[in-house]
Amino acid sequence: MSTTRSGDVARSNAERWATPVFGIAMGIVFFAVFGLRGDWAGAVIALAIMLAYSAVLVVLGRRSETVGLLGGDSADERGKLIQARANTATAYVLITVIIAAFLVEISRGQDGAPWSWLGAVAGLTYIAATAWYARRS
Amino acid sequence: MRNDVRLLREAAALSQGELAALLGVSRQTVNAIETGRYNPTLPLAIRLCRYFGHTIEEVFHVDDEER
Repeated sequence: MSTTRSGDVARSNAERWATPVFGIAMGIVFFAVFGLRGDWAGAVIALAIMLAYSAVLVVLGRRSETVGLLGGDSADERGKLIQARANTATAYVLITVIIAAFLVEISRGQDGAPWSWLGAVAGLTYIAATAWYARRS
Repeated sequence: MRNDVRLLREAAALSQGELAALLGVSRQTVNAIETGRYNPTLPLAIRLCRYFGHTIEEVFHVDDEER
């Protein structure tokens, strides 16, 4: 029993730190990419934004449920439901933007890329995910 | 769906945080259940009801029952 509880705590800590660490890592990647272009101001700003975001997740993650969930802390079933709904809302907005951008591009006589490719990836992912979860739910 | 979780918790002299810790969920989740903003999954509802020594039907009430 105690092993399970300590395992849960370790997993919870890992979840809590995963997103801030990922944010810091992305900040370093952004810094390197901007730096390779010679845009050191952009590099510093991008790194600072990601460090600040990660710091907010760590400092406020235990005080605010919203910040905690943004930081990947999905300790219970309601947290997972909130994250799933947030993911769905984000996907709806993204696909709407992709379709709108695709329509604008082809109305201008362009071939619609890369929006057409992004739309195709989104559509195929939706079909595959639906099939996957239909078999396992 | 209405429920008697708040009544049962207060009768047991538990805070939302204490009940949350007993159930392995967040305090906000207990609050959301009590206020009817969130309906727990069956496993959590069973866990909750067993803790208070009641059946699910005794704790959770479908709104149709009011008619």
